Amino acid sequence: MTEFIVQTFNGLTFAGIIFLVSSGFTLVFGVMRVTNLSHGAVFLLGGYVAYSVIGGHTGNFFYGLIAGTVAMAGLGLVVERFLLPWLHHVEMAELLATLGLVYVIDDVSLAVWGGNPLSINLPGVLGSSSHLPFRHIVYPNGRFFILGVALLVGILLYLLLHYSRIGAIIRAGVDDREMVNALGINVRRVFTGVFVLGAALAGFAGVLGAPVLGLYTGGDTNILLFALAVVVVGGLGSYEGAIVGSLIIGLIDTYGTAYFPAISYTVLFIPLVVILLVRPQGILGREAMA
Amino acid sequence: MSKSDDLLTSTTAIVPGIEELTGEASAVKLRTRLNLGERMVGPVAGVACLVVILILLTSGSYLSTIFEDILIFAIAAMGIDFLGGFGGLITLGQAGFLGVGAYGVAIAEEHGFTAWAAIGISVAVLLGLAALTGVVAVRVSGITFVIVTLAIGQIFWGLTYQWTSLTSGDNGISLLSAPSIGPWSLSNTMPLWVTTFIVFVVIMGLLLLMVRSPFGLSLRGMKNNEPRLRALGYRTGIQRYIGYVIASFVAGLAGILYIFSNHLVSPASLTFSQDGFLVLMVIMGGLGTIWGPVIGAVIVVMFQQEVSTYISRWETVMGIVFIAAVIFTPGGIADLLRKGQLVVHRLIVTMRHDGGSPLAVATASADGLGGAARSLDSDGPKGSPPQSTGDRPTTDETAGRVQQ
Repeated sequence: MTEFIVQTFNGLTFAGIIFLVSSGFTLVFGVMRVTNLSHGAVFLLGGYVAYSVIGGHTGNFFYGLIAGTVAMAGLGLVVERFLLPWLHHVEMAELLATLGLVYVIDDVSLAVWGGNPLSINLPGVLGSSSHLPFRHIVYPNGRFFILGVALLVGILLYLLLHYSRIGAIIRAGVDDREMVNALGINVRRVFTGVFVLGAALAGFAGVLGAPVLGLYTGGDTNILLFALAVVVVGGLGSYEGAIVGSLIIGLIDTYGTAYFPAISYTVLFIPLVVILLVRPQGILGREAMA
Repeated sequence: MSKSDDLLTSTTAIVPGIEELTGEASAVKLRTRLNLGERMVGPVAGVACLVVILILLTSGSYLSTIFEDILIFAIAAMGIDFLGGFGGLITLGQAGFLGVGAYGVAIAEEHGFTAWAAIGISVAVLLGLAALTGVVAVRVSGITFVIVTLAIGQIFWGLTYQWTSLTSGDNGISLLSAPSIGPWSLSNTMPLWVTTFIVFVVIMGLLLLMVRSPFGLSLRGMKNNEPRLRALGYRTGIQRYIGYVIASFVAGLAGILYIFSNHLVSPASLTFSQDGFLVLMVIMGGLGTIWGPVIGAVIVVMFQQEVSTYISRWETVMGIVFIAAVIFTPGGIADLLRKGQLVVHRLIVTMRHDGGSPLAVATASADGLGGAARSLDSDGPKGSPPQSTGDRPTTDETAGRVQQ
């Protein structure tokens, strides 16, 4: 039982990380219909940038967090402004171009940071563990911190989406892009904003997740797979779907890894199968997007 | 419905106003010429391939290894093209099936089966897994299909990586023995690549036959307008399923050849970047042609093998080339060839009928180019701009015709 509780905490932490990644992915898809396959590579690159900032210059985790996030937001801006316009909103072309981008980002990361796994440590009290008031469980503070930050970002994003003008425009964009355009709203600017936000979230998650997941070649594909599983389960383009999907995928994967280590990837397949058979558009997805 | 009929109509669509320019009779001539030209593209490419093969044959064994790689990946890429170019469903998990084919043979041999039995087991496992995953994958289409197939491929990768008692994990599994009939053994270089070539030709032929069969035509129709096809009484779900199983099986066959050529299979063969490389071959070569991906395979494998010896950051170069290909030649090299041909034919015809007046020639060629470019603007949903990668002009015309 104790083991199970610990695994549940682990699962929730992991869910928090993949929520940050997949929410950006799903928002970008929902508003722009861009399937950004380089989202995982951006996640990893954000972590690497933070590693250099923390290790080489400041030694401060939070500077690293800011640097990773801002750098990836910048990268997102460059991609949105200088690559996507060439693709004329052709969905498959956008998907393939971002696939090409994966090779570039991964290869550059490999050139700069090498192939050996790197890790980032959380500072001060976050790096140690504390006793939980029940069952004598000792659990790392850092994981609670990650979970808390993910929750906070999740709530902030929810408030942004539901109680601000920009959020209203984004939600309207998900529902009916043409109509939003027809109403005289500068969709172009909204697109740029959403894409930059998505990249920033990926970079942020990359730094935040690095103490738990580590930074290694191939980590980008790994996280991309989880993000894709989340959006398929939760519903492509749905923010709330990303929350639900992250919880399901995060918990199932963690239990799978703990109890069936040899086939944890296959365990991940179960929610995918169930959802696709029962509700192909995802739990909170819309028919039109499936 | 033969291919030439489709091309006839598409030619008129591509070259508007040709009647006014050259008169009806010459327009007909032009059509026949273009038809001939179009029909020749495949065979010419085939002959070109043969020539390359002969050159490679006579050279050292290093090149023949590359040649084998090209054929093996081309087989898998043709499977992707079959489903993607004709059914509109691009699979991004084919390296997974290639891996299943290779691992199937290696694992079965490790458990004491003979090479032939191992091949049988691998084929059975392949069909089983393709049939199983297909049920899930064909529930969705478009972007979600790409995502789901990517997930399926990655799950196979995860299995090979994590299920160490069966797969030896990261180290991979070596081949123990190759099948043989008398003196013809796949452990020898020559029989191996002749066999690979035969399989390649047979698969290519079968796929080309299949895309021209009623099934292939209905696949194209499904790509273009699925609701309409459904209204006509086609069970599009089943078609998609059959297409998926065929594509996955073809990739698996490539995997079986891969293990005999490579002697070792490891999770590295099933990674996301391998999935990407296969799709890259299809996009670069030309979606919806079957033979286009062969050219794509030549380019990508050459990049991996040759360019990597000169440029250490070859993956960056490759990524940039890929992005450029998606942007500038969404129809791939096949489309470039077709456009080039069109312009040349226009030039020839115009020169004949206008006595070679330079002005007319110039106008004609400009027109030809413009027309070809326009033809890429096929009607996507909501009349959106070029449906670049998915919709090759002729395929679209064909698909349109299927329904009429």
